[in-house]
Amino acid sequence: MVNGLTDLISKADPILGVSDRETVMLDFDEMSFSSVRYWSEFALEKFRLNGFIILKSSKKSYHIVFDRYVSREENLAIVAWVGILSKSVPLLRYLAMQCIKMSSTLRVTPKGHKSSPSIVYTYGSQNNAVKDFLEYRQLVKQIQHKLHRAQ
Amino acid sequence: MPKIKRKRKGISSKTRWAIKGYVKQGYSANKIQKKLKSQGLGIRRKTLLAEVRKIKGKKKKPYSVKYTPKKYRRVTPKARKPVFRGKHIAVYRYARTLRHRRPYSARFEFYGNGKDLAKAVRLALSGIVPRCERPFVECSARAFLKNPYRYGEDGEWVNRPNIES
Repeated sequence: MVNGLTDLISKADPILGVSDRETVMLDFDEMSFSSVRYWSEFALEKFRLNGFIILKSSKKSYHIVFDRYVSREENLAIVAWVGILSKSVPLLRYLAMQCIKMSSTLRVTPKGHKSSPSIVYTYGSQNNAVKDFLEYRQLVKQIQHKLHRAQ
Repeated sequence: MPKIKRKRKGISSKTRWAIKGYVKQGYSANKIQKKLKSQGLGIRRKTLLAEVRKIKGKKKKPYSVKYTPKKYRRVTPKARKPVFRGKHIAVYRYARTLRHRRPYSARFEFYGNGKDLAKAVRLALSGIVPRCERPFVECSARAFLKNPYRYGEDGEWVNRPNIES
């Protein structure tokens, strides 16, 4: 342990997010919106994912949720494909974390100076995985709101 | 091997004849049962009622369960509502405990209904963190509420440590 580490640690509320194994979720960091949209449409066409939403989590950071439910293996394959073709190191790191934690998670609540992700673009069908994701996102937001009110 | 004489199922012709007579006289099932008992011909009420119905030519009433007192009803186990295990709510950050002062990446993943999820998240936020030996915990919100110390221990959620070399 580094000397004086305890002084640098500050208490913080944990982050709340939605986690799933069978929904294709991508996390692009350090990428422009047009590139994010290009790679989302590429994945949509290549893997027939029916539709997607893009959420802006912070400057040049975007989350993508696709509408078709897939198997866990297919999910990993899709994220790996997009990660390698787009040469996005953060996305490959996200894939590694998916493998470690056995599920992919997207943040819903604020984190530090970053506000909670907001929807900036929708495309195609929104009736399956996207709908469920948004319901859960709403639930998490309600929980967060209640907690803040209680404090 | 000698043959074992089995008791005949159903009722004897004598009993049947007696029941027929009582039904003709317009006796109630209770009264018939008492009469038969006093004559040493006692039978189960279920059998007696079936026999009375047969004599009167009446069918058994549908939904007979509703005539049975609640405490005697045979309860069929209710089909449990499937818990949606697809999506979970993740509660994650770095955590540290008294045993492990060094922060470690920790995460709870809860599934269940909305109320349980809200309570479980509140409990996790109040200062229960996953153990260092098992930092990624996936459990139902209800199970966590029942026994939180099975899945975690007292501690605090902290920011990612800034290690400066």
